[in-house]
Amino acid sequence: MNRNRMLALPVAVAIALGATACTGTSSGGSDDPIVIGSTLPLTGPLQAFGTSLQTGYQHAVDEVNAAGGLEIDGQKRQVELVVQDNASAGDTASEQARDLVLDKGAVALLGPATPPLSIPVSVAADQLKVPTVITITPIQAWKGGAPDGWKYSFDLFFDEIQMTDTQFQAADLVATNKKVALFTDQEEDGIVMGGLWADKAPTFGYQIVAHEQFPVGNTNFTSQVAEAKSSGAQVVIAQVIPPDGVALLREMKAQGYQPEVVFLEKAGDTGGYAGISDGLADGTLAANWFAAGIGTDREQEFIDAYSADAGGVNADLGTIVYGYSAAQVLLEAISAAGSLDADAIRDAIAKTDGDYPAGAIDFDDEHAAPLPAVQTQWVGNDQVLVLDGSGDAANPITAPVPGLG
Amino acid sequence: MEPVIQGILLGGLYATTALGLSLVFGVIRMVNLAHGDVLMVGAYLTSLLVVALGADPLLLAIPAAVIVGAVAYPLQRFVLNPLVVHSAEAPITATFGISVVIQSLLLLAFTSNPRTINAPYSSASVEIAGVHLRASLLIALAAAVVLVVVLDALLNRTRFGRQVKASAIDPDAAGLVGINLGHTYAVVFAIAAAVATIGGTLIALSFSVDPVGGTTWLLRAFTVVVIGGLGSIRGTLAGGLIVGVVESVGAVLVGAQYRDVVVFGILVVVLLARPNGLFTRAVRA
Amino acid sequence: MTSQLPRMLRYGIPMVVTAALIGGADAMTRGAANQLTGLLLLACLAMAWNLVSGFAGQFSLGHSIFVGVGGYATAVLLDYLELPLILVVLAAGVVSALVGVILAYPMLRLRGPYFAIGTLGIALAVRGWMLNWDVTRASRGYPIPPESLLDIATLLRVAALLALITLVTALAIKESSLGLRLIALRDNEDGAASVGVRRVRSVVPTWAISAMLTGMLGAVIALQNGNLTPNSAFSIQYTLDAVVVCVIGGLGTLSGPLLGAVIVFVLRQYTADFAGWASLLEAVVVILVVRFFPDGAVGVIVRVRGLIRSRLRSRDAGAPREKAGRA
Repeated sequence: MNRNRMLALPVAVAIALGATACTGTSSGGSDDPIVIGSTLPLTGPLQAFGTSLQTGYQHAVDEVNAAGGLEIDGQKRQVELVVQDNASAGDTASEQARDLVLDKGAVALLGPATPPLSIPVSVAADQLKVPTVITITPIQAWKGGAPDGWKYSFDLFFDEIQMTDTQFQAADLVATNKKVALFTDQEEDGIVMGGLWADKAPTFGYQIVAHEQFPVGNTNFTSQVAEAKSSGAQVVIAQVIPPDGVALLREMKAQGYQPEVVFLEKAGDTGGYAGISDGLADGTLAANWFAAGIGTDREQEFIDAYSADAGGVNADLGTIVYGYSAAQVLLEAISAAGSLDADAIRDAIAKTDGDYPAGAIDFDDEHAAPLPAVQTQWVGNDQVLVLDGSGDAANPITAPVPGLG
Repeated sequence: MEPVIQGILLGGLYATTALGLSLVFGVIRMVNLAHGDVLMVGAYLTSLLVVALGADPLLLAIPAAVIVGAVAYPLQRFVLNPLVVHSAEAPITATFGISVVIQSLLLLAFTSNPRTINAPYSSASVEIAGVHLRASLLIALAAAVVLVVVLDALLNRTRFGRQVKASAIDPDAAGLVGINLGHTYAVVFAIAAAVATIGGTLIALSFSVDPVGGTTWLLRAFTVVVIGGLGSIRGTLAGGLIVGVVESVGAVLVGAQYRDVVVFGILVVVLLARPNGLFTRAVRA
Repeated sequence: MTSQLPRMLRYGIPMVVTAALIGGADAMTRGAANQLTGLLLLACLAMAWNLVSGFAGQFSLGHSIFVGVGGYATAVLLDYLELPLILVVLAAGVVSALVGVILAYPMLRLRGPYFAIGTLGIALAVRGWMLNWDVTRASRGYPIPPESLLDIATLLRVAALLALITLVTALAIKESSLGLRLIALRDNEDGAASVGVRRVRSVVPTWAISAMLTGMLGAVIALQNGNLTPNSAFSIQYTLDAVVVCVIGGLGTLSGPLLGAVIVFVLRQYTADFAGWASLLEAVVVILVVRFFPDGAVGVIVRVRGLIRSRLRSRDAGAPREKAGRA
């Protein structure tokens, strides 16, 4: 009996597999659809972003197809959106980005959400020279992923530098003792934003009296909340993932800590968060990218079409809008280029300058299009606009935070 | 001083979540890598019952525990028992597989969003001498004590308990005197799963649960069990309190951002120093 | 008792195959090269893990540490120095081996389930530490310089070479006295001790070699992905993959990890669109395999061949039946 001979067997199988492994359609034929790929977090902690982006992307693709498709080299071709689920994992996103281009024949990519996913996809896109449009990814964090700048990837979303102003601008609209307690997690954006808030507070006349840091996935906030409460801060700014946000709110309620305003960033941008937290998040604020009254192109159309799906006018709806806009930018660029040449499409994207449902999109030299962050407050299942994109008050803020009362 | 008190409260919860692991290891000599996930399952099941029936979560935790135990029995009897006999590694692999199965199922059935169970006392606290004691953790501490007493009584004062102890001390001899080892092991596993359900419910009341949170709880429970002495029910209570206090104080000293490192660091240190536990009154070495 | 392929073929066949892959890397489509690379890297992971968990019988749940260390070592090295590819990968492997040795003495005092949980605990502790360590940019991503990233064809070549090295190492260990000592320790530690087989002397080198190979794998993955975060580089998914592949293929055997890698890889092509179900399916298969086919796919093949052989033999009346044994 010869087990060692069996080595030849799997190796031979591997070769055979490899040779026939190419399961993708090569996008050479003129009747084949144009494939746009997207690796999205359809499951996992970022699921809400992934599914909303998919809805937005698909909406744009369907619209283009209904109008006859895109004209490439003189011929109209339909567009096909191919989506894969990366389960919110960065290395899976990398792998799938490569698969989509090499196997499924994608000529362009639409991005996932958040830096841990978007950066790996951008890396793959630049390596494979495939134009990619990304959203729901703060711009500074995204730029930080490419020391020499991105070559084929583009990002349209808010810039943290402007976004970290909005908390103070909104807090100005309410009477507080100007003392701030910060709660930031140790993910990339927690550290970046924590630093920005700490730097900016004095310029707005605020004082950081407590800065609590904790690992992502922390559920025990006993000592941190006790510290924040005893510091007397009436303004709380937190950058947490949804589960940690719930734990934080619970602990605050248990210790009877009810600030005037609580900014629950990142967690608060999950649709239905008020429900998930069983009402504890009612009245918390969060920076947002879309809300009723924001005044962008086709605002009401999207609200009517999707607020039922999103469970309200909230961040999920905003993500659908941004996803649609990103796809629209990409599709228009392909159309403008009139060919599937990567450089031509890339150059066309770079020239984008117009009004979209997400706002006015104009890419700078580093391929980033900053869109203004606004502040919204959770009222039931909606996130109501309280501070608009220019830093002016919109609807009045309810204070102190009702959910913690 | 306050971190110590908070640590003791936490410790009560930790002890409750570790009891099942201790029982299984003490009697069956099996490390159930899926234990943390059973905690999560218990929490989700109770949560579903609460949503469906609206009664008090702690009350509903009992039928939930029975259901989980009923599922655990055949799992041990027909899948894991043969492996325990086969080798020491096979149950590790199998329970690892079960852990992944549970996590995958939970992810598919629910989203990865955190789940909490709410009751009037879940966010309430009692203030004593300026220290806020969370009501849910006080309940967990009480539950730990009650469970330890009950399990102790079960093991030491019932006939079944004597059979269990005999099976733990010398499985072959136990088989010879007519004890049905397969059935005994399965019942112990079911009891462990039932207790874990209660533990999971308490976690969901105090903090939150999510489909993949089981792993961290497994490691913590393992730390508790190793400190307290494998198979020692009372030791588990002591172990829980110790881990709770060390974690609490450690987080304050080192900074909460290193909490993970503290938790798992304690585990590793204890494993290295005293693999048999600090209070070894081993049922068998 | 067992007839073996001549040594030349045992080492020669993998070398020929690797040479074919290296030579043909440019000839095949990028898609096929990409797929093959994925398969080879999965096989490397499984084979390296198998050295410790299969050959030495110490079920490690902490190998993700080495993948991460290898990856970060690569990123840090390339950040400060310009080194040729081979040196970087080797250096990453060496760093990883060093970490392995540091961990070996504490960890290898543990056995069985304690070892499993201990390694899992260390893996999570290391990840927790890396999330805070500013030297490696904590939780912010650590990019690899774009000019160092490898193109698809080069990646395939590197992956094939690494697979060859890993396989040859496993072969060499198995056939050496080290391999014999490991088997002795795994199957009967007290008996082994009584003939002078010292546990530490045998297991530590194996662990270090496994760490080195896994670290080199981590380096290649880093060069493929171009950006590292503690959560991606130290992901528990690597541990999961190693376990699933080796158990399905046949833990502790030589060709088990390879066969398992092929099976799992093919399976994943079909479950690619249902990622959540894929994990579930693989885990269920693992449980079934452990319960009913503890020797994995290799064990099944061996049994089938044994059955066929004994059928053939009993057709020639009078020929003695050969007992099927485990090599």
